[in-house]
Amino acid sequence: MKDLKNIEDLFKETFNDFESIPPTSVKAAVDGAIKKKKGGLWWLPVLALLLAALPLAYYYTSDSNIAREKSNTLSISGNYSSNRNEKNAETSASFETSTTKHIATHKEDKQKGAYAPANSGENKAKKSHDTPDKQTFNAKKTKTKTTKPQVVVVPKKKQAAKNKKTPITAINPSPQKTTGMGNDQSTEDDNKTKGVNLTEKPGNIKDTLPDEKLASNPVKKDSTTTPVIAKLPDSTKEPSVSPPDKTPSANNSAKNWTASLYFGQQYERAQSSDKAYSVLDPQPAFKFSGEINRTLFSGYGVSTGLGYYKVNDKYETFTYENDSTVTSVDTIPIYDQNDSIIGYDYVFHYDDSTQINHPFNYSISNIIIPVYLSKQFDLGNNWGMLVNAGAVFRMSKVTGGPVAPYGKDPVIVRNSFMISGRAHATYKWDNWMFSLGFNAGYYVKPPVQYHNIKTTRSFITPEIGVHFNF
Amino acid sequence: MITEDICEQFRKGDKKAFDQIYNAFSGAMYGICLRYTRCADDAQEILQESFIKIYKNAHQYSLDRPLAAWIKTIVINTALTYIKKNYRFSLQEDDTYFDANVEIDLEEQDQETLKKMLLTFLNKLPDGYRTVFNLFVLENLTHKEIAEHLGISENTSKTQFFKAKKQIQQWVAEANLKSETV
Repeated sequence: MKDLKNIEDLFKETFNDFESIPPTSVKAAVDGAIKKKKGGLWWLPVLALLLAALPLAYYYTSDSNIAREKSNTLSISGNYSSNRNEKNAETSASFETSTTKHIATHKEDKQKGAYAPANSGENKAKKSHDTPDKQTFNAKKTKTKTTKPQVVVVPKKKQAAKNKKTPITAINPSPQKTTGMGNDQSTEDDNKTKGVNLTEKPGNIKDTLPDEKLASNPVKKDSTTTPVIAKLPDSTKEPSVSPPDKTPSANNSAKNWTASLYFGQQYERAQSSDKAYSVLDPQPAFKFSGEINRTLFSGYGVSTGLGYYKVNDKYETFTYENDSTVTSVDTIPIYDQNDSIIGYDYVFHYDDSTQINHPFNYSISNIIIPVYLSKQFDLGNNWGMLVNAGAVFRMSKVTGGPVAPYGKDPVIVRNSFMISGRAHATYKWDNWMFSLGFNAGYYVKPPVQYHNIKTTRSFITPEIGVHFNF
Repeated sequence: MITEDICEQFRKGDKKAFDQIYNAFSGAMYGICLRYTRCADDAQEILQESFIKIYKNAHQYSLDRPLAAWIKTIVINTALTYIKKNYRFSLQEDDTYFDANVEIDLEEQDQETLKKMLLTFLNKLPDGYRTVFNLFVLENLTHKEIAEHLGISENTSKTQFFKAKKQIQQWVAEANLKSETV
């Protein structure tokens, strides 16, 4: 038996409830993709934070370097004072004990000439590299020879120094002295000789002293002709600790790099060239970018960076007014000469008054790379103006996709670019600069394009900028 | 059975609700994918991509719409995007068509065999023919709508459809002939 059917009806009937069980691998792949996408772009905020933290880290690192330099300088000065005074506050009893101990500990070093004569200021400077024990020892040993001057130098510690005076003289710091009283003179002579020899090594001092003032310290001079006591206070003067000049003008004069972070809400405007069509403006999106600027001359420079924004979960409504919607179709048979039907012609009836919305749902993540020429104007009193002009390249990723029921699918252009400009009022504070202004642009190549319709797109972003000069 | 509660949970991104929806609709949606593609592998890829989109856009689903229709829309759109991207067919207008809307003789056979046969015919059709045929016959779109969807003229859509129909008729006739000789 044969079944007479129109082919269209046959397909409709057959496939009306057509189902086929997909392989389980499809579900596994879907689950895998969902899990993977849940991870998403978590790294982008992290990257942004890192970029933002970079100038801060640089700032604090350089600050601590300055502090370290300062403390190094101070410690050298401090060694002078500690050589003279550090242990002065101790009780005489403890001083005696510790002095004896240090002498015993460092006996061997002393024999090798590791310690300079007490009256040699150079040696005191050299000892800045010594361990605290050594420094302590030096202080105590020095007191055996320069007890009197030291008391003069640090009058506040006079009493303590006096307390130390007796035990130091009672103890012979030189191992050679233990051989007998007859060696006393020769030991002193040896010490003098050693002191002269050491003072003839300016390299030692230069290596140790941080700046010219300390390097040219009169301590270098022969101890026999120049009293050490007169020189020591000079070396501890504040100017030796020369803090870096931190005035903004001094800093900014040599700082040609600027790291900037901009953020703001971007508003886009879309216009159709065809009056019958209209495209609603996309939803505002939060935009941020990190940029780096190099000043070349007279406030002119170039800048580039990386930015991100996402047009969130909304859609553009694509409206076609006075659309021609098919309301009914007449099927008219076509007859041949024998009046038999050889085909059908269709007459479509349209309603021209309807308005159809084609919602297009999407979510576009955009990475932008701005390339700008920049100019900074100084308006005085730390106020200024920042102007940028250039192009912004944009890489888009559509994460939503068209889900409109049979609506037209606009084409998403993944790589687009726009001409863009920026104007900000700026305020400088030390190495930092804060700015407020706007960034605007026009899409030379729009990211969303509809079939047969030209749309123009532009954007404006009121934004805040934080900048760091280095 | 997909209840309103499941739909609500699905909208909120609940994975278990999504799994239930997948189990309920994957068969029918796979059937649609098979109709639009050349082979099962492509159909599976479209199905996979569609359900990922469905999950990601769950919050956009409106409860006052039938869930099945919403899912079907996404699947068909995904299929069309896939076809445009991967098959790269060209649709050209041909004025030499006419609609020979003749009835066909079909040997009586069980429904499953018939489905398999027609599906084979669909898969064998050139990509352009198959797409237009699917949209016109099975999705009930007008030629104007098809033209808009595929970026072609209305006449081209009609040409493709009638050629597809003619080709299927020819294959059906051949199939009948074979079954008669057996």
